[in-house]
Amino acid sequence: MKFTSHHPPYEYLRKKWIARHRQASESFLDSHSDTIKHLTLGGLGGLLMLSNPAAMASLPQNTNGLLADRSANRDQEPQLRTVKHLQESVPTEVRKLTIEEEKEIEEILSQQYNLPVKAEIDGIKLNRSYGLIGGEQHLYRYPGDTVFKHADTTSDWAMYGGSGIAPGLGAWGYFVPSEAQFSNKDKLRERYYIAVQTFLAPGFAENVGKYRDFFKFRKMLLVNPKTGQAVVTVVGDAGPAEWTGKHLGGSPEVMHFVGYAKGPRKGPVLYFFIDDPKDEVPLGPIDPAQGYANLVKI
Amino acid sequence: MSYFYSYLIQIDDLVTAMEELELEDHHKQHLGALADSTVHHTILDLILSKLSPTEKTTFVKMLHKNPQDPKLMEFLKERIDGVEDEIQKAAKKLKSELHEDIKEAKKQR
Repeated sequence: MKFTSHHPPYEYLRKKWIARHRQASESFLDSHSDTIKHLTLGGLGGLLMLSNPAAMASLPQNTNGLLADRSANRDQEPQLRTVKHLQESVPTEVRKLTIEEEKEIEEILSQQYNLPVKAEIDGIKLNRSYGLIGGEQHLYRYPGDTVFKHADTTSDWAMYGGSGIAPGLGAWGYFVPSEAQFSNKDKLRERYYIAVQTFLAPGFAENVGKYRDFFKFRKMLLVNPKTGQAVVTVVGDAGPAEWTGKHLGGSPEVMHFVGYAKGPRKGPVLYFFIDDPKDEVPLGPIDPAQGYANLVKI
Repeated sequence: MSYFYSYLIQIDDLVTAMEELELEDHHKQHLGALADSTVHHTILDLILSKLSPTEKTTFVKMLHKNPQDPKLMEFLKERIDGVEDEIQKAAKKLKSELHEDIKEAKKQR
C-alpha cells in the first residue's frame, strides 16, 4: 500500500530533521563516548538518553533527556503528601474560602512549599484565594515585541506559541519601555504571569494608586489542589471580568505547569501572596519536596 | 526548556518560517523537539571538544544539575576563548541549514 502524507511539507521536514538529529547525536557519541560512559556509571543516565540516536529517532514529545531523567527519578511522595493535606482542607466546591479555611491552607502551603505564603499582606488581600483559572495569551513585553520572540527554543514555540499574544497591553502597560532594556527578569515575569481581579479586592476603589502599586508584579504561589502542581508567579495583569465565570487567568506557561494546558484550559487553583520583600524567590514551577531554594528548572 | 546558552541563539526567524508551513500542534512539537535537540547536541559537541577530560566531567555534572545555570557559561568562559562567539557561529550555521530545509519543505505543497 502506498502511503500518502496528509501534510507533505511536514513529512519532508520530519525525515530531513530526523536524519540531521541522528547525524548530530552520532557525532556527539563518537567524540565523547568515554565521558558519557564514565558519567553514566556515576548515575547520569539522562545524558546517555539524551544522546541515544535510536531513542531520538522515534522522538518522544520531550526530547530533553536531562529533564526526563529528573522527572523519572523525582520523589513523588512529598507531592502526594501535599495533595492529601490539601484534600482535607480545600472545599470540593470552588467557592470563597472562610477566614479559618484560608488560614489553615496558608499554613499548609507555607510548610509544604517552604515559602512565606500569605492571604493578606499590609492589610491588602484579594477578593478570594481559591477560584477557577483560565488560560490567557502572551503579553507584549516591549514595543515591537512579537509572539515568536517569546520562545527560547522551537519547542517553546510549539508548546506556547499557539496561544497567541493579547491585542492590548497588560494592566501595567509594557513590561519595559524598550527591547534594549529588556532583561531576563522581565522575560520570566511575562512567562509566569497571572491576571487577578485586583479591581474586586476589598478597598480597591478607595485606594486605586496604592493597590495598583501593591499588585504590580506581586509574587503569588499558584497551586492545583488536585495534583499539587505549583508555580511561583507574578501579577502581570488585571482580570478576568466577573461575567466570564473565571476568577483569574494564567499565561500559557503557567497553565502548562499547573496542569491545565489541555482540554478546557481551566480548573480550580489556590492563589496566595508570597511575602518576599528582598525578591529572593525565583519564578517558575516549584516542587513541594524542595522549596524555593531548589526550584524545579524548566 | 531553555539552556544556559539560549540567550545566544535567536530562534524567532526560524519559528516564523515554520509558522508559514501551517503545521498542526503535534507536528510543531515534533519538529520543535527535533530542532532543539539537534541544536543542543551540536552545541554540546562543540563545547566538550574544547575541554579537557576533567573539565568535561565537571561541566556535564553541572549541566545535569541545572541546564540553565549561568555559572555554566562562566565556567566555559574561563576555559575556552571566545566561547560565546563559537556557540553563536555553530548555531548560525545550523540554523541556516534548517532554514534551507524549511524552504524545500514549502516546495512540497
